[in-house]
Amino acid sequence: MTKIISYQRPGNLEEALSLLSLDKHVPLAGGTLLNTSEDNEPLHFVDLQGLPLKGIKRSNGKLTIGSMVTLDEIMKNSDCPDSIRRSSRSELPSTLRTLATIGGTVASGDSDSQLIASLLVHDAEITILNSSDGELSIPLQEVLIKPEGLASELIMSIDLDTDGECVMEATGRTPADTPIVSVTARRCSGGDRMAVTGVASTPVLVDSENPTVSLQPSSDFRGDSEYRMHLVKILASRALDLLNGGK
Amino acid sequence: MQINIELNGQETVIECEAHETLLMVLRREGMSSVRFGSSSGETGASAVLFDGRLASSEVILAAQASGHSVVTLESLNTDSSLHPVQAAFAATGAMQSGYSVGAMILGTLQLLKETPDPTEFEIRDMLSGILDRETAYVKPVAAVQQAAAVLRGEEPEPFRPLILKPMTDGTNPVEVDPNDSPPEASDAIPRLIPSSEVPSTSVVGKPEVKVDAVRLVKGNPAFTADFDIRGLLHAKVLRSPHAHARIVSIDDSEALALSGVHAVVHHENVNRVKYASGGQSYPNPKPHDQVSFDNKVRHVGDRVAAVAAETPEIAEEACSLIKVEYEILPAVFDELEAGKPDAPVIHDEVDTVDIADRDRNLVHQIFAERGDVDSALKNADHTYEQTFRVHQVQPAPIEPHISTAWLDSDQRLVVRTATQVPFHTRRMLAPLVGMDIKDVRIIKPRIGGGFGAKQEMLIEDIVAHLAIATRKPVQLELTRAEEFYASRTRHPQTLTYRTGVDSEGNLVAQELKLVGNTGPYGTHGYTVQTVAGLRGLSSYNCDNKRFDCDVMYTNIPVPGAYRGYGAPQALFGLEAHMEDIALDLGIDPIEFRRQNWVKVGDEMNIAPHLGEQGTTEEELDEYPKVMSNGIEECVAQGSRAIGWHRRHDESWKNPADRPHIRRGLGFAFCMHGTSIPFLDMGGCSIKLNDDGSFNMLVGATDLGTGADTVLGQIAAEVLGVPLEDIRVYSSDTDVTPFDTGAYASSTTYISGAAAKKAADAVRKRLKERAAMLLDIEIPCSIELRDKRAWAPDGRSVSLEEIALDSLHLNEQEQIMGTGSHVSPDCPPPFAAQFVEIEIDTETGQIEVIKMIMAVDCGVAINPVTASGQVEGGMLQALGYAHCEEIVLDDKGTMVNPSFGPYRIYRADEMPKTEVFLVQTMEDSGPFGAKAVAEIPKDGVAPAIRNAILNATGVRIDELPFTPERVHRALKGD
Repeated sequence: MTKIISYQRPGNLEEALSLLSLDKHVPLAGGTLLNTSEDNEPLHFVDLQGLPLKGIKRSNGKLTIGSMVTLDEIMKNSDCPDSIRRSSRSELPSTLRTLATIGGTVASGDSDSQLIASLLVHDAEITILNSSDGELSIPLQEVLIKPEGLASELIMSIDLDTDGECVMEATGRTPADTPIVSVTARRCSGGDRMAVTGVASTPVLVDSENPTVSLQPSSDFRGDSEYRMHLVKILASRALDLLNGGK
Repeated sequence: MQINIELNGQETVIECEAHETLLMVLRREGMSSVRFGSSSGETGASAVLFDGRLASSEVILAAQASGHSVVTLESLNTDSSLHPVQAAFAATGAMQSGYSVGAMILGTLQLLKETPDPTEFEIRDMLSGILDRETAYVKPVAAVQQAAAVLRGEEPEPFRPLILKPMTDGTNPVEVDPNDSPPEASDAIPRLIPSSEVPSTSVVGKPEVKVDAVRLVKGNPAFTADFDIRGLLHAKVLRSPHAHARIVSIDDSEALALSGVHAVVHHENVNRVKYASGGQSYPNPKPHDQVSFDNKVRHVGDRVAAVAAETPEIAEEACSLIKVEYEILPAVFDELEAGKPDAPVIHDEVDTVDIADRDRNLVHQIFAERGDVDSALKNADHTYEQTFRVHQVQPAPIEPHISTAWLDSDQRLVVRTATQVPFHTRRMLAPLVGMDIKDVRIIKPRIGGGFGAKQEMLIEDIVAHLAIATRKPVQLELTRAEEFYASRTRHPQTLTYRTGVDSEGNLVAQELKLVGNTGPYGTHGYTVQTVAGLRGLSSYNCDNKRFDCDVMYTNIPVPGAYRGYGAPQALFGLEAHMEDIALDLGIDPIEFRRQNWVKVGDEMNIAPHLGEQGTTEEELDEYPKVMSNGIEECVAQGSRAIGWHRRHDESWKNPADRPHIRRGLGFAFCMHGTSIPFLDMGGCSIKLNDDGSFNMLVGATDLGTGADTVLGQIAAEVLGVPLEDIRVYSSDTDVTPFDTGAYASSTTYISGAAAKKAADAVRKRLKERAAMLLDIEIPCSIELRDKRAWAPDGRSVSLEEIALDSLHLNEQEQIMGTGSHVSPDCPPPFAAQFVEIEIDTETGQIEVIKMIMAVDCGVAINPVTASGQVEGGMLQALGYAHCEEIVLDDKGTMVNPSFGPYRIYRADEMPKTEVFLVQTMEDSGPFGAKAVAEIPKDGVAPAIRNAILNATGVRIDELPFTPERVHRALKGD
């Protein structure tokens, strides 16, 4: 477990940003990742639970989810698109999803996260607050490229489009296992979006017509690179079939 | 720092450190129901209601909880009664060890508050965060449903077996009508098929609630970690980062200088005493190739040193301050590579003897033969040869290994420990710490699962060395990662079967060549392979049999005992092999097996040649015979329940609306053992109390199996009292009689027979005293029932009156009895394992839809606990077949030492599971009982393998059936 030098719970955003600008100060959201990290580096924990980062709001076809909303809350919120709710459920089991937050999930950039993949196809934009620029809205895929850049910033909320139809296909060792590879696809007025997990250091958006282009997945004991590429082709094809009205 | 928590409705101020978790402070506050499973929170054993939401308290910092509401199971314990949810968990047998039951009950409370009539999906989703290796989640789901009904004001049916009519005459097969289907019932309810040969009983055979149920559903202190002890020190172990290395030097000076450190032990300050850590009967099988701390390490995670300090964190930091210089040596991991000339020699020390060939890492050569296999194979009409590879998995009990040691006021060593073998541990531990056996006491509290991993003297010596060094109590609890790579695992093996068959389809020869991988230490290496041999060659009649086995040292994490003990490996190969032979011969696979499987009166002709202490080649005058066998009824019941006729229905196998899916059905015939003949022994004593109740002391080790309950039922039946009048206390080497321990499927059969003998002795004396009171000359004419002794003329006297008379009034005496039992027999339980699967032919993903086991375990003393054993065993067997595996990198480091990467099944993904208990009367067992604990481990893997074959025509002879492996097989790679 990570060594904790100190625990602080700021009561407002300014105080939080001030603390996070200090050396070895890291944001603590739900704690399911940070509190269980194997990293032994001593750190100061800045707990975000006292900040106004909660709530789910719908307006103008967009949904805004506060970064400290838990996956359990998303799963049970009928304003959230079904794909977001389902991927929140599959992300973690019952005793952990009540703690884990969507902000923490995004910050993790976990390669296997179906929730991140779902956010990607819903054109998620991340609102970030930092002390120099104030609030910035950045597409999720850009945030995922450099998640370490978030260390001294605050993820405020996630905005996403909710229209269209979304399907998910996955292959795992067991039905509820973290998929070896999953494909999430959405068809909306702006066209098709497709995101894939298990093939890069984070979930990635791919071209739905040529989903394997530019992918170079790593191998591990659950599946080597070649097998993962095979799965992408199969699952992407099935996802498109579903969007085209297939069973 | 100071935090404020609303704990079970009370505002509570708690002092804590920044790094402390909510679990730590809750346990310090006395909340024993909140239990450690893994620091990542994935077991859910630590779950509480955190602001009304079920959450693992291991991953919440105590500081995070400040200002929040926390509810634990203790909130329900305002008086001695049970909340309806607690009562439902007790009534349905929803807990075995009960280690995680607090989390399940809290989750149920919250679920039913929001959803009074939840669907099964919602229940399973709630349970998805609470891993359970014991119940397969079947009965917990039923408990939630029953609790929901009660809270809605309904009166649910009492939880009891569904009695089914026999489909056979017990001997001959029947053709199952495809249109016939079994009666509908909840999966959790055991289907019981009674036998007319079984006499009527009052307590035996009834679904009695477990004797420890109240303690467990209330979350009262029960497990090793639950008992406080003043001045406790905490131990941590420095483990090897190398798979094979010599320790050139070790410097503990910085560690000892760290404030709060009390002792550091390692090979330079602990006596070198050779031993073998497997918890087995005296004399422990050789070689004795371990010492508490060695100057050489032989696997990643091997012991280097141990520290006792005032907190676990200080102990861990001290471990990091121990300077160790290693000479890194080459390592070998594969059993087929270990014997090659260029392989490193793993045990080159001179003081380990009795290694068959140390230069080839060959620990044992085991050979046994009946008849003339070579000649029979040569003359057979058909011969078949097939090789199988099986992998390494971990038992993964949710309670990790934990031991606490201290010196009592007489300076005797006391160890409270989660062990399956307290008496073996006492005998094995004493010489390691230089004490006499009489000066060592082992106390076994409740155990949060063991499954064989705790049939080992694994960490007791470490806490003992540290307690002696510090003169203070010391506790060591393994981390989840240590549990994976530094505990015990199932042996990987390479198995090759050769079988000869005559023109009529009869087996004429069968050989099993086995190369077993025992890792760096022998421990159970000899006996697991011999059991693989006898189990792999016992199921079928054949005059010519041969077992030829090499057991190899390697540098993998240490294999040892794991429920099934060699049988799951051997039966995977055997049942796949038999399936393939049948198909090649054009015979129905079940019919081919039926033609050859052992029946009542058949000899078990290889078992006596493969003993725990060695093999024998001498022909015996007489061989043990099968005396009870319900397999025909098992096959009939299982076939009907699975819809076996569908296996040739192409429209069912190839669903038109899902073109990439193939369906298949698989079968495996299972035969296991019941105890180790002439070796396993159990003792029991029973005494009468003033009120006519009894105290029963047993050495048998209930590790969640319900053994205490079953033994109590046996005594209650004999003594004519309800189970509640038998108070069972088990496993304290100072207090209770000896027992070899909980392994080899022996407890009901051996310890149960001891309980029956002790109860018989008490019963005899009760009748004599009753005869005195009733003025009857022939005591044996008296019957005990309903807590009274009855004369033939209808007069009676209560057991309380007998007790008061004998203890206080006339010819005073303590009425008590003792019994011990060892058996020359090993009556096999039999089972028919069926599975239904779907396979995705494009990805290789397999989904197991249904598992059905119909098992002949003789008379199930308690059908609810017996069916729970089968359900939990099938869950573990499913993991073995499908998704669990220890994966090492090329340096021997485990890459997946946590739940998740090491995948075990959750509640929300389990296949449908049903259990049929087919009664037979096994005259050598107490009230007709045979074993049930291990046989459910044997058939799932081969049944899935055969179902894949049925679905696709593809044979996969290596475990586990992961998507990539299956995909490659389907491609023909």
